[in-house]
Amino acid sequence: MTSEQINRWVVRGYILLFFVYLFGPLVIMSASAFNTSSYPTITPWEGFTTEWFSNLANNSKIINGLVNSLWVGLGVVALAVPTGLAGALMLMEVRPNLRPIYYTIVVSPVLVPGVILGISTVIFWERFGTFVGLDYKTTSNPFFLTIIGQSTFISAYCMLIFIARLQRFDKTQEEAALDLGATHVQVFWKVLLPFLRPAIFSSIILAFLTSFENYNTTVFTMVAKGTLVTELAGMARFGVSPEISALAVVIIAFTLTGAVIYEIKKRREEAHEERAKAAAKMARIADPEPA
Amino acid sequence: MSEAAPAQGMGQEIVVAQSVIAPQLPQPGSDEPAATPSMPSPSLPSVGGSEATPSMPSPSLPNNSGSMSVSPSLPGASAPSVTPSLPSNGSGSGVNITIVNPENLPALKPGQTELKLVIQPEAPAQPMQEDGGIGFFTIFLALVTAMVVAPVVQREAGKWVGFVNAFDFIRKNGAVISGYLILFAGGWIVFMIILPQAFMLDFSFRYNLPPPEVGGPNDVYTLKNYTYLLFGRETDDAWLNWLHLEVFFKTILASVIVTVLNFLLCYPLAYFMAQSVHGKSQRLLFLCLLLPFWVNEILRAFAFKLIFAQAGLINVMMINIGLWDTPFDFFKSDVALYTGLTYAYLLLMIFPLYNAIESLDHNQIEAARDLGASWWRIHTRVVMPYAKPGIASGCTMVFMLSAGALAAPNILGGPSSLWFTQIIYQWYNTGGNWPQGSAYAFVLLIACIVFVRIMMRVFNVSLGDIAKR
Repeated sequence: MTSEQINRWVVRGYILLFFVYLFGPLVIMSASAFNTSSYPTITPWEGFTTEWFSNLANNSKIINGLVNSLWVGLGVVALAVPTGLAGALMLMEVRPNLRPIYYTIVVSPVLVPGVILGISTVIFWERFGTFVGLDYKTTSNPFFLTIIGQSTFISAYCMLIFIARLQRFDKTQEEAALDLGATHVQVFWKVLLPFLRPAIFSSIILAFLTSFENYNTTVFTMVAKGTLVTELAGMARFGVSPEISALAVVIIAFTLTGAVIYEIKKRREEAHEERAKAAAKMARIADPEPA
Repeated sequence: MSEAAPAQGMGQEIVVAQSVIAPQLPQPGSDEPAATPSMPSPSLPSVGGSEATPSMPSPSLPNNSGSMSVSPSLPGASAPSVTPSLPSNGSGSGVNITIVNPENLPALKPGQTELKLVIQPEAPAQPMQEDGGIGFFTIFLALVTAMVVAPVVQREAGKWVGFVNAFDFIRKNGAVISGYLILFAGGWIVFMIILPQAFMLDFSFRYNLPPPEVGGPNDVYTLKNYTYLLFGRETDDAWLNWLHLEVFFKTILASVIVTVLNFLLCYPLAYFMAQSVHGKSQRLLFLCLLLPFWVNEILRAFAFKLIFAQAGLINVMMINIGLWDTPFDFFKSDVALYTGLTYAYLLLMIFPLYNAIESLDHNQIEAARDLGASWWRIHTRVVMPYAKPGIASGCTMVFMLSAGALAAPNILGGPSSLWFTQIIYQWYNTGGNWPQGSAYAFVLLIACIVFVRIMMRVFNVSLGDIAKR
């Protein structure tokens, strides 16, 4: 065996181990959802059952949490996507020498621990709300706080997606539309947004899933109520029922579907982009001196 | 009347009276030269006693605006003394007068006014006089400061006011779109990013007060919440608050360890994916890596709880094989926590690394190899320097998320070991002490900022490189 062959086998073994580490825990957890044992485990295997799934469907806390999660997710999408877009467009407007400062401010939520974002949101709205005379019920509303708190950093994620897309935007399209008599609003709706459509789609999915999965911020802002994930964390910490595993299977199925759609869409878009680029290159080769 | 003489020379009795009382008044700005330049030297610590009497202005001073006088016919050594002072709240609404040794006050016949304690109705004017001095001085100082600072402010303001050129901005985007941009981007930056952090910082310097007292006189600033993290309660035996400090440093250290572990695990795969795999198999590898990333953090932690449990897969397997015979407690030894955390943020390390290495021209590696570099040198001298932004980005994200993790330590942490975020959570939840929690949260934030700065310095990258994923 040559050293190259040994090398290849080492790499293969390493990759195999890596993916065992990556998927093993999830597979074991999913399997434990179907074990009759009243404690979530696969050792010993006592028999196949789906009873934990029906128990789960009757768990009112989980169902409530799921409904709350969906509402919060929708709220975050409605707030974070326009905010992220505004943040990205604003980056182009800010004077070039101040762009680093602006950029530092708007990406900082990505780098701040979620716990801190949650705490500061709760404190700010409680104190600021009393200061400007807002109703206490508004400023301590768990949905309001959670949507605001999560949007703080999810907007930054969305903004990064928009910035990446906007870098390929040809400003002359806008100028052309304006010269031909379109209003600014028309340019925005008919030129900019169609160009950004894939990015909007990506950021909606990303925002919803990130919101749906968030724990660190939500656990502070949701106060007495719970989302699916905070209920899940409570169960995972204290509960010893295989219902958690059953829920894990459901969530994995749900998020994986979303992830696969997201990935496929993204890849298709990238492939499209590549083709467009290749076509442009070909055109340039065919006509080296464009008029 | 020797001391009073110079003042009287100015022809104003009011100054005499001030000279008697002024030394006793707590002067809110006593270091200000402007407040007392014309005062005679304050030589009377208290009014009263035989020494004091000769310098006293006559009780019958007719029209001074504020004077106090004690009859010259007071007896003996332990004479009653009168101490005028401003109310300590500084509101200037009156003068407190304390009479020491009142039993020694000479007996007064009915109707006789041998001991006269005259306070003219204008007495409160004195603190106002003081305020006037301070007011003048403040204005003077403000003017001087303004004159010094103005050029600097003007220069700086030019930059900031022109953050966006308002006129151009609206002309370029139209009123509606400009409104949308300003409302959303401005609202985001002001009400979601800057002000909440500022309020949290402010709150961390306050006492934990019940709601009715918030904004009241007790709502003052304090360093208590920060000193508590360092020194604990004053009644504690130990000098330092070891319990919390240890948790803090353990959290930081463990996060660094998790980050390093993650890097060691991910670097080979990222390199392999970026340089050796192409086309369809690369896409498949990608999808396989991405899928677990979308599974919830809590479920990932819970999965490890199942594996590491007393009757979990590893213990059962190892006992069956015969490697050990009593179940090993993975939670108490923190093995479960570190494994879970490393696992949780694996993919935040691998993608930045991959993105950075992918654009490296493979010819560079070939060239290094042809020139006889060992594989170790190829990585440390060619690949890693090239992938610096990716390494910085991945390490920062993993460190941040580990240090700020709450769910994984809750689920995988041992019963006796705490994560710093768990203490913060306790202050908020069961402890009911929000300012204390804010102070701890702010310390964590500072630690994270320091880490980011170090990464930026060590790897010589910008924040933009780090935030990109």
